[in-house]
Amino acid sequence: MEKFRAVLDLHLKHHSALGYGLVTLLTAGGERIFSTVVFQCPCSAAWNLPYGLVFLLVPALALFLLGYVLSARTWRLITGCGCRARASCGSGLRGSLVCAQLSAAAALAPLTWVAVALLGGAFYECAASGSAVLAQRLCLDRDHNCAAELPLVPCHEAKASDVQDLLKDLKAQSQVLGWILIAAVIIVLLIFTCVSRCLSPVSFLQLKFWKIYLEQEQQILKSKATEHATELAKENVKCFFEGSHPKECNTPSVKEWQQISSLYTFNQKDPYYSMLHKYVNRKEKTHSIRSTEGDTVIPVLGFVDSSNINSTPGL
Amino acid sequence: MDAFQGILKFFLNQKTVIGYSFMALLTVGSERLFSVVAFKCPCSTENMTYGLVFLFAPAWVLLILGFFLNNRSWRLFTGCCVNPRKIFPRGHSCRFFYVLGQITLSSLVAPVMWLSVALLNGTFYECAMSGTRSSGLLELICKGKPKECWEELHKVSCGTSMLPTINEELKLSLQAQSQIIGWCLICSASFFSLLTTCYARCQSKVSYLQLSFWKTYAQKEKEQLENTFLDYANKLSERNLKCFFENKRPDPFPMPTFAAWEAASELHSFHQSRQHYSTLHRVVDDGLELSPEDDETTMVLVGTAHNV
Repeated sequence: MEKFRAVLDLHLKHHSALGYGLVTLLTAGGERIFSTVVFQCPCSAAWNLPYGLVFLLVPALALFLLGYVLSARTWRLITGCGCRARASCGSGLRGSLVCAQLSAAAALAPLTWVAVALLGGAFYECAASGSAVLAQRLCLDRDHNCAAELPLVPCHEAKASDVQDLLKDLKAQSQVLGWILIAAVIIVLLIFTCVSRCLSPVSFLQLKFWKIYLEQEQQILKSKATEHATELAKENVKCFFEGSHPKECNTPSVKEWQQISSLYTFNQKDPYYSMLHKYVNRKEKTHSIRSTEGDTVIPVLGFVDSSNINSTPGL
Repeated sequence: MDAFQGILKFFLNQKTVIGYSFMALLTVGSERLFSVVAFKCPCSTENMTYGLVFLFAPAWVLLILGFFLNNRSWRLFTGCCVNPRKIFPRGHSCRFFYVLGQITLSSLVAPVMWLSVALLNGTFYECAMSGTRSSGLLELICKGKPKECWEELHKVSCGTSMLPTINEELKLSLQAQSQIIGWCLICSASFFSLLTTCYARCQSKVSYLQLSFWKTYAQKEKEQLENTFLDYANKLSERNLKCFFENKRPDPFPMPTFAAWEAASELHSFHQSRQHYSTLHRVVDDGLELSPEDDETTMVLVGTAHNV
């Protein structure tokens, strides 16, 4: 039991690293399955390019949209946006900053897919052999039939052997492109993380504490919400069957829930660790915490909105 | 049972060694995977680009990952634009670059391991060198070989129009060069790391036993810090949620001030006069002022005391 706890602790500490590792493994596995089982290059001049591009880019698009759907922050931004006033949706700069961060986080899985697919080589080989522009470049100093036979190369059906040898060239180009993509993405990620950490008004240890606080808050919110909901449900069902009047239950009102569900903004004067913390510590009972002087959206504090009541492990 | 406990304790004490061995195994495993599954020399004029990309791109990725996973770099960078005085204190502006250099050195371990393993294997180098178009290198490789060597060297990995024995000879000589370079890299890297460790220990104003104590203290403080964080986070969130659900006003909850957090997050430096074993120790003893006058940043604890 102790060893299991230790493994779970490791999971909690390196949560994001393990998450990214899992995404990479899943995309690599998915790519292997696709390219061996599903993908069969049509080997025709008209269809190679669109077929290859579709297999390369459509799963990337699907993963991008899935990234949006699976992020709790998207739902925080969108829920109730239509009914409430325009201003509460995150006006102008604030909203666009949040959107930009969401897009950047959602872009990681598709980029991994494209990189792994390029390293595999099958999709690019098919697409490139159907491209007229590339055919011109590759077919210099070769057989005059080269351009006509190039689309047959992925199926090993080209008659001239030096044209068939172009398959190795195409695979090499694909793998070089894949590595360059990986190198570029990782340096951009590092630069972006460094800049957002640099601009952080909150120190290193406080950020660490903050992350732990959020996890705890989500766990306790889930258990308290369950407890409260059970009590309320029991009371209601009992009263329905007994035909009596339910006793007063102190549930937070709609306005209160709305207040704590809005996107987090940081204020230098009163640094609170979540919207719930901010709401509970507000000055007057009827005061709204929606937006006050000095509220800003900080990139490095994006993790505050991403915590999800359903995603924490039930310890 | 006792013997098992003893063995476990031994392994837990050798955490660094085990960590590095694990990294080495991982590098060897992935290098094998790459050369068997993904790497296929194109045997054309693009050999050099292909081979070099396969050699250096994973090294680059490992370097950046090492930087990401090093806690010291985030301690260094967090909040540096908002308060530049923190990392460029008066009179000690080189400290930032010094720490950055230390972080880079410790991140270089994994890429050097990858490069040595890849060179010892020989496939990547062989492919890259066979695509060379420099007349000097071609002269070196093809000396005494038939004319086809100069024109068809890039096809040597896949079989050329030359005799199979000459082909084999060329392949073996390229692989041999690769392995020699690999061994030289391993030797020079280990020698360099030995030199830097010796120099750092020589420069150290802290004695050997005190250093061991320091490492133990740092480890224990890290564990205590995490437990205390968890404890306080738990209490604070309980209080907040209770007040939210029961619609009450919250009781005051004492937490460290903003300035206290800032002071505790600074990078640590050892002063012989004060003998504080961590930034937290210094903040608790001395209060919240920024680094005092005589500053001696020790070189010794590369990658040890600050992995919070």
